[in-house]
Amino acid sequence: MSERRRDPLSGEWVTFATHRQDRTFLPPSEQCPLCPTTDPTAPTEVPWPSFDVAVFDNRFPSMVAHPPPPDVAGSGLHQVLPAVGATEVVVYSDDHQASLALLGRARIRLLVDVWAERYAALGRRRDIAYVFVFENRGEVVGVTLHHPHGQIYGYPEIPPVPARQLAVAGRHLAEHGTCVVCDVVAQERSDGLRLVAGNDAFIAFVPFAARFPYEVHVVAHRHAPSLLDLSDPDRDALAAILEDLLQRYDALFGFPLPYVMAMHQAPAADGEWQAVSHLRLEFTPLHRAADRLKYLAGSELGAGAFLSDVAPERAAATLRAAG
Amino acid sequence: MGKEWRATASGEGGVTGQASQDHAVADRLVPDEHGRVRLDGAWEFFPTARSLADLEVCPPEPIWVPGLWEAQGRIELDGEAWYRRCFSLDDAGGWWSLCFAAVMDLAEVWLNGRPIGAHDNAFTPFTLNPTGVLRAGPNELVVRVVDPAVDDPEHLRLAHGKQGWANHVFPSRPSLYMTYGGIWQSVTLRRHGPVILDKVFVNADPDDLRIDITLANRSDAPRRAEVAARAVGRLGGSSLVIEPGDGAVAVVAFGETRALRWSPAEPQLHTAVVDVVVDGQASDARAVRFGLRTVSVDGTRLVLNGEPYRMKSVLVQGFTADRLYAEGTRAEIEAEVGAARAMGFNTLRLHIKAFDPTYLDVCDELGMLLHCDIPIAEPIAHEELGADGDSLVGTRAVQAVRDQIERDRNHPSVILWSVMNELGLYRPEVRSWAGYERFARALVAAARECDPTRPVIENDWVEPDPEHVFAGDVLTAHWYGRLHADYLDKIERSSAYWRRLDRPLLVTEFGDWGLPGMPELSDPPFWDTRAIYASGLAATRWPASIARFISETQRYQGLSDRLQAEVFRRHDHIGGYCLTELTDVPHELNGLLDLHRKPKPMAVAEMARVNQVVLPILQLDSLVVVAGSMVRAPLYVANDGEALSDVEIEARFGESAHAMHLSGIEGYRAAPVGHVALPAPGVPGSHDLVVRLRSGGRLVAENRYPVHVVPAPSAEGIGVCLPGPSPATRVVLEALGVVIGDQGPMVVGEEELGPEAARQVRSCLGEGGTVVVLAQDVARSQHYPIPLTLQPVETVWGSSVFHFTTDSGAIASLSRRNVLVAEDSTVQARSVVLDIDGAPFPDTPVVIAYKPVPGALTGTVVGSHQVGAGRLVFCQYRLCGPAAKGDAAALALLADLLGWASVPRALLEVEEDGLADGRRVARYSHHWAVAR
Repeated sequence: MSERRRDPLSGEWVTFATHRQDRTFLPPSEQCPLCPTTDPTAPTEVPWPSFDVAVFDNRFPSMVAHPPPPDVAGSGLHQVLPAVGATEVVVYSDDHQASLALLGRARIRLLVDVWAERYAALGRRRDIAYVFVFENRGEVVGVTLHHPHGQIYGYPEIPPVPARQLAVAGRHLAEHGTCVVCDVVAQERSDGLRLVAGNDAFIAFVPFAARFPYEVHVVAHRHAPSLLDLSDPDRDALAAILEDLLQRYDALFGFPLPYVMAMHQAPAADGEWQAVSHLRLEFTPLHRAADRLKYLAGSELGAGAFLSDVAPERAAATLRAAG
Repeated sequence: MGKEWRATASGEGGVTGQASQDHAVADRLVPDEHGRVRLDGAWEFFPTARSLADLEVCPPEPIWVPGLWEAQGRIELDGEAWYRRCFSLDDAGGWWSLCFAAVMDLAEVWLNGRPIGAHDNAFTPFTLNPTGVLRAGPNELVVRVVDPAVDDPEHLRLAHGKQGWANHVFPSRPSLYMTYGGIWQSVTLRRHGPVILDKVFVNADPDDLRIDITLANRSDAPRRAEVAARAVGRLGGSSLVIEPGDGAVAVVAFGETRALRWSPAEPQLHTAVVDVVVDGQASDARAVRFGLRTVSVDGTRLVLNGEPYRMKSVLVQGFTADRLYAEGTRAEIEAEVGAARAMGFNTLRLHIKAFDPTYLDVCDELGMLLHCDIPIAEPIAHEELGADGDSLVGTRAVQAVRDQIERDRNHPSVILWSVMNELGLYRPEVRSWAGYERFARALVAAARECDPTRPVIENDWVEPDPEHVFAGDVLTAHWYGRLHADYLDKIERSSAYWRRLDRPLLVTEFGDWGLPGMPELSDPPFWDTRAIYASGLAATRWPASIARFISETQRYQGLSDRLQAEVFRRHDHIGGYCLTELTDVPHELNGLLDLHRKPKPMAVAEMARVNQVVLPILQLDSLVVVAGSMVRAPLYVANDGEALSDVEIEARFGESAHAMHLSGIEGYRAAPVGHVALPAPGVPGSHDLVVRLRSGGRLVAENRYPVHVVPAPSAEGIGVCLPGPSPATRVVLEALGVVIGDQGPMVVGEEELGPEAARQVRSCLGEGGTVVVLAQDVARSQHYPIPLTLQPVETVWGSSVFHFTTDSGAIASLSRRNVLVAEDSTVQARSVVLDIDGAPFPDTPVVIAYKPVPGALTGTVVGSHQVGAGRLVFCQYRLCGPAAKGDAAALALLADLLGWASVPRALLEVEEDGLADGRRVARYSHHWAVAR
């Protein structure tokens, strides 16, 4: 079963990919499908004995370029569509034990170029409206393979979270004539209270209304709608601040901190997105203490209303002191 | 008579509440012991009235007198407005004078419905005779005030001062050079006898002290007036008969006096008390403060109290944050003058405005000398220029000279008059017209007639131009430019050129710009420019805080001002300088203080340094030197004090020092005393070259130069190719050790980007190569391989283009995130890259130019941009000429530029393959591309 169904209550689309139940789940390292192929008789997903960064289509995709027809027939109330889109895996290194934090500046810099190249390539597809780069790190956020990697999804429509953010940005632009993220960056640089790290092109800060205790956003100083708008020095700066932030995360509680990284850029769909899109990478760790997680419970899941018990300013100070 | 009302005063300068025609109450006023009735306070204001009759139907608004109406919220009001003050006197008997200290610009006055006089000078006092019209009981005083708009022909016929100046460059708002209106100084009614003291002039000469007393008989019968004057312990007087309505002059000569003299160091003031008695009754009396001192011209020098005087002046325009074109309180004036004095200035130039007399009083008391301008300035009706009586503008200008000098000539602080300023600035040919010559001669003659004791500047002009100075005693120059080796060299040559003049030469205007502090105010004034500068700066890619940028521009301003002043101090025949200016006026940012009187600390410190009485000066070609190289420079000493003996001068630069001993240094002279030669520090960075002067072992003066020490420039072994023969470029590159062949980046020489070079540039970039394009003029922008706009960076009248570095660090000899002060002063760009490939900045800007106003400009001087697979590196600094002469800054920049262009770049490489199930897989790596 591979199809997308629209929730008639929320208007949001849910993708069903039942074959993913069979996907590889936390295999032993010698059976890692993301490691390089050292024995041609036992090929992995990467057919080379070594590599820097590799990208391939997910073996268990939730969306594909040419999906089968839906299993069920839709109706006016219950709409259903084929699960068109893209799901790519980005393997950060051929070292199974590595992590993004420890790849080194040059490899992160290469990764930035790869993200940019894939954003451009997928964005050119007519069936893709939004290219979403993300990483799930750590078992607590649902990782099924330990090998350092991230993913890129190409959605056929703008997903709910960026759609809401773009709508807010559009209203802000209409009212103030400015990009809301630019204004946030200016405010955070001015206040300094929630800054975690910064360089000449990017800042990392705990958002004013962070939903998770150690949530951090990495944002370009200037209005860059996507990675494609970054110059070489800007990309250097992005690599530098990612390395800095991730090493702080790992130092925070003394273990590699699980997180979800979500990168938001201008949609690929037709539209006037340049003025309201501002590249940012959102990191969401689930830990609120070394031994405690922030669970999405009744208020968050049922009402979409987040509660937090750590002040963003204090979290930022803690992260500044870490690493 | 209109209904009477009372407004509620909220204190000086403000009025609250609404005028109400329901409250028919006139102020009952009682003369003080001197017969004076002050009419300051709340008046009725009729901004829409157009005739006396309109006052009966127009609703009045409250307004405060004294004060400009623009400072009371009526910023846009130009043209005509009416004032009314109703008051009641118990007794109107005797003779009266109604005195307006100043009304801007034109005034017509009615008392109880009868016209009693008019005045057409915005800055000077006028006295009217209300005797016979004034009555016991209610009186109604009405003043029609006209503030001609900047486009009103009447504006061109007035001595308007700075009103409406250069609005084409600095439009209002936020410029304060708008036109103003209002009764902006006090109004007084005075009762006296039949004969009044119209004018009293004390000539201040201790060798021949004299008081000229002008009297007027206000009565309708001949009167015998007994005049008496007392001063410096002497008493004199005379008796004379004055016909009705006539005037007379009494002269009281005291001769030589040994009373204490007035000097800047000891500002001793005296008072002359003059009274006139008619028929045994006191008719009028006046106390006039004066000082005993002399000022004269001796050849090419000005002499004060017999000693050579060298002007160290700063220009004051008389704008304030809240009162706009009106001076502050006495305490504020004292603070302002005290601040200028603390910076080492001995003189203030009160610029094209008759300042509130309180300002002159304070300067008398604090010993601050004054160079006072008459407010005759552009824009003016050039075609109507002529002598008194030739035209309205001629008549008014002569009267403006007389009125101001007669008001201010008793102030000992005043030592110099300028009767006009920069007349003909935008039409210099005017100075050759006969009408202009008659105008100039008439103004100077009027000044000399009113005050034969002080020298006169005819037209405070931008160049000495003695051929067009017909009657003035002193020549002037207004030399504006930015901190640039070429500019310093230019004023050095200009200073030297004018050394054989027969009159004193003063540089009465010069000065560079620095941004003011920008505190966020809860209730910013309408002229507040914070948002303009903050948003402008935010768009420049300046990588640090606004506060740091501001302080760096002030560092630039200070060094620029100081180095220019040092040029003037090196030349003994230049009688001094006047820095423009003491306080900013939006958008004129050359103040040492901002308009709130907050200092720009680094600029203040540099002017205090150059204003020292004794100043050792090094004539350095550049403030950039190579580490370990020998630094050689002529050494001067400017001594504006007594002669010095047993003089030791030491120059210290890092660990090295150079000392010289002189038996003495002449007083009141500037002269070369030798040369300094010492090695620069071996460590690159910023180092101060310090010069100390001791006399008899006592430290007398210290000067210091911030020198940027760069590593020895070298591009040894770097390979480049040239698209053509480029002989000039070749010589410079080879001097740096560059290997010229077919390897490495392509270098396009200055002004060599033509069609053929452009073809080769495109080819090189297409192959993934790097091309360095050195400075090109605007016309060559069409040949760049991508759309690119070059914009000239002319310095428009005093404004400054600030250069700063980003965080790129690509040019190692320039510090990152720094406003460049002297690091690039020998190589400056004539144009910058305004946009490239549709974007305001290249991929990697390294040096950015930013000019806030006028004509805001942000552009890139040095940067790089990806073009296809290749990279374009551009540099609009002019390097080759200075580099060929061995200029350290040019060589270091060029070497850095080539080193940067030669560094390999990371390009993304992709290798694709297929998996067994048909999926595609790709592996990515960085390929390090060499420059070509």
